[in-house]
Amino acid sequence: MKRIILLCFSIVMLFSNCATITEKRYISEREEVVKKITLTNGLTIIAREIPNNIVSIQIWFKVGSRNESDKNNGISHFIEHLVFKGTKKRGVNQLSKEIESVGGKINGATSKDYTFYYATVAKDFIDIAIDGLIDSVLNPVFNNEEIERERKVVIEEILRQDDNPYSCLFNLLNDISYVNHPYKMPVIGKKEIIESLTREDIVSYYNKFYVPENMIIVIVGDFNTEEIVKKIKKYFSMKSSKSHLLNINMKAEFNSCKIEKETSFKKCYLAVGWLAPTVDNEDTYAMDVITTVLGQGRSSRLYRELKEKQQLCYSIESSYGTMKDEGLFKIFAILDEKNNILLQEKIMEEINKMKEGITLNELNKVKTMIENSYIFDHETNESIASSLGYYEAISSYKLELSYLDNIKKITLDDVKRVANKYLSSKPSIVVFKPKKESF
Amino acid sequence: MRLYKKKILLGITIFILISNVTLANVIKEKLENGITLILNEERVFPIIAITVFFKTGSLYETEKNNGITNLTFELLLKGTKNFNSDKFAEEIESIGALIDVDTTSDYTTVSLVCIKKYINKALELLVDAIKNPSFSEDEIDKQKKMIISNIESRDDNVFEFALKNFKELMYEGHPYKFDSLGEVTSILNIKRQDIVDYYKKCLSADKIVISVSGDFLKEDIIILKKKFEDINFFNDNTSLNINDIKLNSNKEKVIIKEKKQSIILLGFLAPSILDKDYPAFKVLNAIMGSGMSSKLFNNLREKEGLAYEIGSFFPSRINKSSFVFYAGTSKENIDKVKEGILNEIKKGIEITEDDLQKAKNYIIGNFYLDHQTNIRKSWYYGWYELLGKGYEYDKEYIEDVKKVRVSDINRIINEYFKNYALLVVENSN
Repeated sequence: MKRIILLCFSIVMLFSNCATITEKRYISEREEVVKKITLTNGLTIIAREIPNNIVSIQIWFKVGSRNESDKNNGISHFIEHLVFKGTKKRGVNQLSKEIESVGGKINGATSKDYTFYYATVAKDFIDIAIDGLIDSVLNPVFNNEEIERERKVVIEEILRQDDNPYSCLFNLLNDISYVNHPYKMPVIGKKEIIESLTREDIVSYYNKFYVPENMIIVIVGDFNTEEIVKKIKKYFSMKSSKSHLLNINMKAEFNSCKIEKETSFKKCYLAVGWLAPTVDNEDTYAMDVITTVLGQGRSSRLYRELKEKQQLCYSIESSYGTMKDEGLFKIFAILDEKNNILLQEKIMEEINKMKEGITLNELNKVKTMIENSYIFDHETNESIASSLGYYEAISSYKLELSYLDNIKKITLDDVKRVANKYLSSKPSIVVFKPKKESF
Repeated sequence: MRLYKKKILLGITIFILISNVTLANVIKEKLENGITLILNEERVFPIIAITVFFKTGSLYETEKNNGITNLTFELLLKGTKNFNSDKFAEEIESIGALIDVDTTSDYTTVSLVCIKKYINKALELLVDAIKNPSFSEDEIDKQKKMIISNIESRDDNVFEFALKNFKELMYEGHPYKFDSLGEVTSILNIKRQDIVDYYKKCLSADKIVISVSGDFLKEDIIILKKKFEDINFFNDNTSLNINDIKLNSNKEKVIIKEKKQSIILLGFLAPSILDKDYPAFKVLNAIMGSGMSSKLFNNLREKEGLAYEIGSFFPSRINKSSFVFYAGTSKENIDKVKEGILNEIKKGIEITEDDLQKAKNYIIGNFYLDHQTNIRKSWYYGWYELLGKGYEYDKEYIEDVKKVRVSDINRIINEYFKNYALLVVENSN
């Protein structure tokens, strides 16, 4: 989820009138240097060479809580925890030790649409990282003892989320906003489900989704693409595809609903959500413009009007997670309970103003903001690899490459049309109010 | 496997190859007024990052004005003599630049990142914020409300709540116990004149380090120097009266809170960044609680399954720091986790050459990975300079880490790990 929010904030637009030689070079370089190779078993490799002595290797799987049900919610994340717990070749946590002992970084993450594992190392250790990551994701032993140990750890992680107002708020907003779509479920799952999952459940789920055609290896940094593809192929020569997956889009049905509840948190927290375009919908670009105009930065409309001018809240921002199916466009605020009703009214006023359109100045400013943050966000191999992997996992890496061009095309009319199309329905609302006598 | 072992031994040497942190392009200059300027020229990306360091922070505050540094510096971005708060935000965001302030205990920064073509405008705004803050009553009032809300929200985050209470326990009688946000009462007591007077002291040329990294031109630096050359030296007669931090016996405090998870923070006093034992503590921190191959992660999380989040931290401080073990766990495991941590300290003296080498590689690798962006480079060079180590320490640090021996680790464990402060936030559910 963090990744989605991060991308949503950092995804970029190029202000058409400001495209200097440097920026043009930047864009064309990206288009020329990113290579995609698909092996016969369906495995995708995406490579970008950057001669800076560092290599970031990431293995993405098109599986996350979106592929779960209310019987096994949390299993994708549970498997992510178990992948580093040993293979036939490696002991528990051995890969982490191998990578960290050569000064590298290693971890994994799960979201609604994907799961990924990554390592960043000096180029001399590329073989350890490739061998280790591929071995871990293809050959986990799922030892019973390790499953039991990790079950406790995951449950602790769930409890930790329950203590966090932001994760509680957004989990509840998702839960009430979707009718049947799996996006309504939390990525981390629920305690009672995690407690009930068996080794058989885990192995069966793993066998279904951890197959080459559901897998993307992204490698960015100092290496030779031809050599690296040869190396990767060796691991998959004996590994034929286990099944054919149809990773089709699922239509999300929105449920406009409002929940206000008392919590032990000291402040009042508000989240408002509407159904937003999918990653493959052309409207996604205008939605990013809307998100930034409304609630990104100190000069955004919500911040200026509701926080600074009317002082109805202490913080306010908007976000839009670009996802495979319809994600949510969200507004989030921290406030005093006494301002709850008025702030909701004023948010709706700002939404209505947005439907009337924005000014050319706003459009230009937002394009510049996003263009620059794109450049800031592409200083490391790891961040470049993450962007490519993220888009390939939910659609195509080409969307990362064409993003700036698509944003450049956005007009004032597009913004108005998209605002009217997506923000005219009644939103879902969650309010956490402090208990009168919380301690 | 043979190849792998060979490479581990070569680890440090090879990893240095990844670095463009050679300091070859770094220059230090002194402006006539005493401001220190560090310049790191890099042409890889069209980005320029500027971090302006001020030698001020919650270390220089009192019970009465706790939070004044953060409040004052936040107000730099809330209006100047040339632009009101809205207009200032509009001007910065219209060129897609990022400007931010950060207050810690030992220092405060105002940082800027921009694309090179906008450097002139961005620099103009950065300097305007630093030299001409308006400190309007209206903005002060709004900012105080905002900070008080943040203080209340801080308590909603169980780890932050625990850390605040831990610092109060550990650093009783010393300003390191202060949270940079301040307390509701101290924030309410701060008046506009307090802020104006406080900032006058902060804006003293001898207490400022400006660190620049990225794709700048000579002309950009000439303009920068010109803009900062009229900042004066402030003759501050008030001396910093700080008690030595002591922990004469174990201190324990338990707070019951309506949460689902319990938090444990167990800390020992540790050396300052200026102390010879600083590198050895950094290595010990890597061995004990950094990353997935650390002792705590493997022994208490992986083997025992006692906690989801577990590790240690050793913040770099001008005064005495602390070496802190932390864990998020369940109520019934609190004692087991505490015993487990104390046991790991006892076992600490059993560390091997292999443990040591791996920890060093971990530190060095992470050091370079954290030096990939211009903003981080500008931060590191300026930080070492401000804390009195000199920007060159960015390179020397790695050499010092390499020199740490097993006997150093044994010695610091015996010498420092005696009395502890233990803070437990116990969940009531």
